[in-house]
Amino acid sequence: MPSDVVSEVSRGPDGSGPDVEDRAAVSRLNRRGMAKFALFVVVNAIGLVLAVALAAKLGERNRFPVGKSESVLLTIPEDTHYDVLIVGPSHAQEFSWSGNHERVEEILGADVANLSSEGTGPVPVDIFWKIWRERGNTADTVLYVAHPFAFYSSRFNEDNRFTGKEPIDPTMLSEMIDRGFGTDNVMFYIQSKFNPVWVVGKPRADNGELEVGSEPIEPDLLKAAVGRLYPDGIDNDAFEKYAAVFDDTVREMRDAGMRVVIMIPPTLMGEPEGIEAATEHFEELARSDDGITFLDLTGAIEDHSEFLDLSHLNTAGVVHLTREFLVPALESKARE
Amino acid sequence: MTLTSDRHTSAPTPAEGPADGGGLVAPEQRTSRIRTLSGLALLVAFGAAVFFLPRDVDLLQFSSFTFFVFYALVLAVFWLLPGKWRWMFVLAASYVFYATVGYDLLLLMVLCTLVSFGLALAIGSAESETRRKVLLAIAIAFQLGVLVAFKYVDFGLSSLESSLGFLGIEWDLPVLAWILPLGLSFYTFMIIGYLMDVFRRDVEPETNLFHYALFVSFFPHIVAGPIDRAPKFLPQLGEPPQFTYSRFTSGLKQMLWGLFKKAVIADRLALATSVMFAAPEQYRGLFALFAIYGYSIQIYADFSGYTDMALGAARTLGLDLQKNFERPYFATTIQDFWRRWHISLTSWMRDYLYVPLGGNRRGPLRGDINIMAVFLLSGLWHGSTWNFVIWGALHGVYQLVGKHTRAWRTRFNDSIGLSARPRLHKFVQIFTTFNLVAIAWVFFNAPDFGSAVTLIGNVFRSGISNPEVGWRFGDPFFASVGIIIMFTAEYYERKRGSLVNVVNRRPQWQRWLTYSLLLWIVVVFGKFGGQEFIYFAF
Repeated sequence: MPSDVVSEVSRGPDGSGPDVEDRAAVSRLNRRGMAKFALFVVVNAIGLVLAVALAAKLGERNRFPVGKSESVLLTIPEDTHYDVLIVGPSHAQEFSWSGNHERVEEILGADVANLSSEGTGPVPVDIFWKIWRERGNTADTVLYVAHPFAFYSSRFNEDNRFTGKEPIDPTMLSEMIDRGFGTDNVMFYIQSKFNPVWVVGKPRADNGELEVGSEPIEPDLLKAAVGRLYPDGIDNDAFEKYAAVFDDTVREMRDAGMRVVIMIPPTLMGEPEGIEAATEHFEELARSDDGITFLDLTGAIEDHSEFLDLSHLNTAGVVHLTREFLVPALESKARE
Repeated sequence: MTLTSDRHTSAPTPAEGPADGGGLVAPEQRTSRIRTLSGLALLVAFGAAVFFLPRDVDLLQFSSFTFFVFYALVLAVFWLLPGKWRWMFVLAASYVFYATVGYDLLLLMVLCTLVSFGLALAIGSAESETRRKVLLAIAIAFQLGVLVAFKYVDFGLSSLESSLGFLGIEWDLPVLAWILPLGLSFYTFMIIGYLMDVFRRDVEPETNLFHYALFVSFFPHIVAGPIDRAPKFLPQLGEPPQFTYSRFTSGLKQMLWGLFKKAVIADRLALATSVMFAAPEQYRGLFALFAIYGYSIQIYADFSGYTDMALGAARTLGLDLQKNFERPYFATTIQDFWRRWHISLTSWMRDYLYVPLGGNRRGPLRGDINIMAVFLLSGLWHGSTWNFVIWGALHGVYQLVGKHTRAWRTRFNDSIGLSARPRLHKFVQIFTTFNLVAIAWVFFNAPDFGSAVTLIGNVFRSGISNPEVGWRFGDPFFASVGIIIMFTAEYYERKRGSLVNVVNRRPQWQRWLTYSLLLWIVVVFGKFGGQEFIYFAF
């Protein structure tokens, strides 16, 4: 055993300390041991990289058309042009849920791409946008669905576990590390790809038929919903931080020659908390650039029968919103 | 595997070899210079990293990525620097580590270090016994004063207010709401132990301030122990540490094992137990039993996992810390449990509290009172709430009941034939001890007395439980596999000795396979960065 040899040679002839020859022997053993240790680290690191690469490959075998998967990356094609690109949280997913994607394309008469994912704030949106662009895709107009809640907490940004449904993507990984996502979140992304659900299953869109009847709004439900959307309350520092990320994304979209429509979606939750700062910010942005339009649709739809829950439109609501508000907004943008 | 016999005592290291006189440079000297320069370069990098280190980093969490970067950097600089600088460097690193909780709290620790260092020297040099006693009293009063001020004043005031309210006297007492400095309970006890050792002349007062400061602040043990003893720790700083591969890798293996316990078992169990303890009324029957057993295993995996990581990290830096656990859930009695659980605290309580109080030398009644006093204080040491006091009291009662019913239990076991079946007898003892300990943990973790009683009572109630226990798909499976691996390893160690030694006797490919497998289990199935170590709160 090397360790026993080390212990033996560490002691000198009198048992108190090593002599020169012994020190040389210890030194040789240490060097040899450290070389073995380095080899062990390298072998395992290579193994980990290979396993992650295999997981990435396994993920890539599942490709879906736009709107047919909860995963965003699995629906992103390469070098494709769209008329409209939709980004944002679940309020933007509504446009593709449960057959809505085709309905919206038909109403708009446009090819639509949708990069939205549940609970995504400006940071995840920016990452999806970068990957989408990196794959050579373009669009004429971007519909950026921006609910104020997504600007007030890291839970919808760096602490958001939106990657569980996404395949391993090197850009995604490096963006997460660069943007200071926590170790737990980065590890969650990698680990989720070794989950049997991911290995054998597919992240499909599964929201059923979104034709739910109206429910009376109970104060307790409303309070709980607001609590979920604003877990850190109104944190102005967080708003400034994420508004800056939002601005960068919008600027990049404009630099890429795309028109941008920023929309606050309608909900049954009344005026969302923190909307003043958000509205002011979006209006300022729209004033500064003719290529940006701001649509504040807070309270624009109040019929409960057009909602799936307190916060999300059902199919009837999506159709209503698209016909009444998006068609004019996108047409006016197109005319400009 | 010999871990302690490889410490050199007098021979100079290559790094400390004779300076080049200007002639030909021997290869050994060249290597030494390259190593020193690399060490200095890394030191500069470390300084820069510290300068740019945000104050809110997750450095204290041993299972965080930030800690591993910090630790790897410390390790590299430590072994590349010349031997005589190493302890100074690790002291600086320990202060950087602690400073992430706040410079004010670091200053408090430095103040405690300076005061106790000076007073220990004074105690050591005082000639009259009275003077020595007075100095010791001052030193201990200062340390305890700091601990009480930060940890117990609010508890005392609120308890007083409640008591007066009970008597019909309304009195609004102020609330200080001071932040409890991280690790205060641990370093206070290390300092008091050192002062007592100096007073008893068990150890010479340390004359090197930097060595003493490192004893107090050493980053692997500062936040949650073990509560090290000066007579064991300080002599290790007498000589520059010598690198040996076997010590280095044995430290890393222990860290990996600790990380396995923390990331795979404790943090996964925590997902469920935190939900269930927060709403105990929603869980009944087996669900309630699962919450109780789950927390018992969680706290062990968490605390012993942290301790393994602390001991392993220290060993890679050339230092041996005190062992803190010895397979506690294989204990056959409560007394046996306390010989195996948080050993550094138990032995501290025994040596610096129970024995000075008279132990069992002053009659049975006084012995019983001393036992209760030690356990009540042990509970209070963990936290300033009545639940911790109840937890300590329960263990005290367990001890006393165990002590006074020993003869009766022996007769009973004989009468039912259990004594004649030693294996079954032992199993019953282990099972009983575990359940008693588990019941006490409920009081330790529950938010209040009522919740604890509700959860225990719900074990015996039928009805529908809330099926939502905070676990996702796969969590029950991975937690179960982790727990089975941990306890199987411990059972095996009980029979065959150190598992590391057993593995080390296998061919190299088997050793690598074993360690790689453990590493992969941790990487793929571990939970990272979610839960703080439970004992960080004390």
